[in-house]
Amino acid sequence: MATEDDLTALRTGRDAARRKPVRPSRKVRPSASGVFAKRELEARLGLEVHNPKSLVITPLLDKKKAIDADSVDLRLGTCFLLPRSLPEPYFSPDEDTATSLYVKVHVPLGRYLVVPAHQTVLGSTLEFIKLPCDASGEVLTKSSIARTFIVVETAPWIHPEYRGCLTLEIANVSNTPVLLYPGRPIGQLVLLHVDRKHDPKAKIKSSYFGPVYPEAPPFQNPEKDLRKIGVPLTSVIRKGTIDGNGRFAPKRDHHQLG
Amino acid sequence: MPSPRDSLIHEATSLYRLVDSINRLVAEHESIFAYTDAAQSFFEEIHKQAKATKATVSGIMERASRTAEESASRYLGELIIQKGRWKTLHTYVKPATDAHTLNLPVPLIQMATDHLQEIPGLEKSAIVVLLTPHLMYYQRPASKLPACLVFVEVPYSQGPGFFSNLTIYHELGHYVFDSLAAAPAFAKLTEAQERAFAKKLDRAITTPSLRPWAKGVLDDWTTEVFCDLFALRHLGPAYTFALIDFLSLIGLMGEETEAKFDAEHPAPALRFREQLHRMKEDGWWRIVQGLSSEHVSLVTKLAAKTKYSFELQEKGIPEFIEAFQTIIPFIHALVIEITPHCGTAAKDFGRRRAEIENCLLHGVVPSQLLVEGGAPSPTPVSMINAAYCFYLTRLPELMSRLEGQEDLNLKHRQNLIERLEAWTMKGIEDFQLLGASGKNTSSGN
Repeated sequence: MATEDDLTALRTGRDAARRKPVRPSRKVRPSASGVFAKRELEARLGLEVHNPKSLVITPLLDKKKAIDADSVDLRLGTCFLLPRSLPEPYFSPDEDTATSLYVKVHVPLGRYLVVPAHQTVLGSTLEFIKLPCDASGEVLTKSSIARTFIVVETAPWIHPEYRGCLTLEIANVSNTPVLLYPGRPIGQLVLLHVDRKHDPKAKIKSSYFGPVYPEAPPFQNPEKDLRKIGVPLTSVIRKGTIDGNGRFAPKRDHHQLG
Repeated sequence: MPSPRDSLIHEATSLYRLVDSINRLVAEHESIFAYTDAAQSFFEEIHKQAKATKATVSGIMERASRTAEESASRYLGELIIQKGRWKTLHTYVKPATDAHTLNLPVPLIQMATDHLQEIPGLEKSAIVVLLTPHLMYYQRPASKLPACLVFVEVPYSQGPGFFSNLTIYHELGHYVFDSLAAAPAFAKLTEAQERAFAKKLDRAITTPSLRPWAKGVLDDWTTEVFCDLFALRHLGPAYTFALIDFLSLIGLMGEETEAKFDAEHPAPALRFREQLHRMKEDGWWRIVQGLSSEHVSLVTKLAAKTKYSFELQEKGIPEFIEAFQTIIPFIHALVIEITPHCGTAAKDFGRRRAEIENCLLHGVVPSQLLVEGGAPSPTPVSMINAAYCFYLTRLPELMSRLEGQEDLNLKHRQNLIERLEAWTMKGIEDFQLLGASGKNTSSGN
């Protein structure tokens, strides 16, 4: 089990046991920075889960291969959200997003999902992740995958203390349908130091807390969001109807502040 | 009046259409959804039987066309048999197609299958879940279908959930009881039933026609307690807690019914008394008895009851209950004999409970503890029990750590319980995955 001293030694590049006493300095100690290297990744993975600096990546199916010099390989999970063809000619991000925009699909290990050309699907990592309190994460497409014209993540930043399987936006930018096999490596997680201390009294954000499948974004209705910044009137379109001539007739509405 | 040949054509066509419609429904669902291996085998069987029935019907038509008009009626009987078979299959197919992997706790079904296959004689068993509109769990016999398929009905509303579906182990108990009834291990129980009947009921049942019924009642009670203990051996107290939750949900945990036997079920108080006895014997109770949960108090309260009643046409027949009480020790002995693989589950739970709950409190999947090359992994059964204990006692603690979550807000509670169930399932799934890749260091129990 790694100790706090070991972690400090890893960050400063010195072995804690060999540390010599140094004269106190008035200079502000430079914060740890840069990307987590393999030794630190392993040390963080070895910390107990209640330690705010612990890193969790589970299951690590092939630990030796999965942890690289400066990143950890992530595999593709088995659940996906596919874009649904909507009856309306538009999509409005509001409280109905989760049920209106997606079709949930389960692809067991050993089977594949076909991503049509120029389409994007939401998947998730097979690994459940908890980031340390002093690290942010970035998800990158594995280079071998990127060379097949699959792009993972257009919003790849992960905040400190996040926990859950990561939702991945997986885009097929090629002209050919591509097969995705759950369980295969698809991305890489890179951790970066953040100069931040754990606040034991601070509460954990509850949106996106601990998902194990890809999740739809929890939008509020636009008028609710805009009211918060004082926008008095918001035009919204509620679900419309198709008239007798087959034309879409949106139901317009205006929400007034107060 | 239609001619015999016209009738035959009409009957054959309607059967052909019925079979084709069922077969198409299955094929359409298979092309859209993923299913467990067992469901897939069931669907293959449907395709096979559909093909065979269509061939048979076409054959009948061909033969009928070559014979005299009057003899066409003799083929009708064959069609009626086929129709009866498909009428039964019809009731299985739709609930099975509804039970695709998005609607099921797949890791639990896989774990239950593994447990079942550890029992000698049931190595090839596979569970097919049927999602039904009834708010009840039930095991259906595999009539005219491969006997290794275990059909378990699950209420559709509970399908993707986890905790309440632990009660499917009770239904698996029914399958085990029926499948192994002729096995040598069951001989002592059968003898005990006969002895109990001869000693306690022979004189009480004076009407000869009531004797088979009376024997059936004792049989049903025996089976129910067997199923409870079978489930408990495999799942520990999580089964008891899930049973309490489910019986409460469907309104069967009222004070007025808790000590009453009916013709099919022993009184809930007696069922929980026997579960408590088993938990004590297997080492579970000393770990959970201190839980600050109404479930634990309820089990203790129910188990303390000593007076039960069983009435037939508003007249009490205490001899039934006396006879049944003499059978109970034999049920315990039988369950232990056929589940030797469950012996160490409580020990692992006792050792690992705190760290599993610690993972959950930090919003982390407990498979985190499955360390390659480290200490033996906690078993899925330990994860399930720790998760249930956590659910019963520590949910407010978890909520207090999250932004904007209120303990009394039912939507918030529901969301977090669903998370807890998802983490538990993910933990089991990871255990199974690591087991398949030879990386976990523990057996499945």
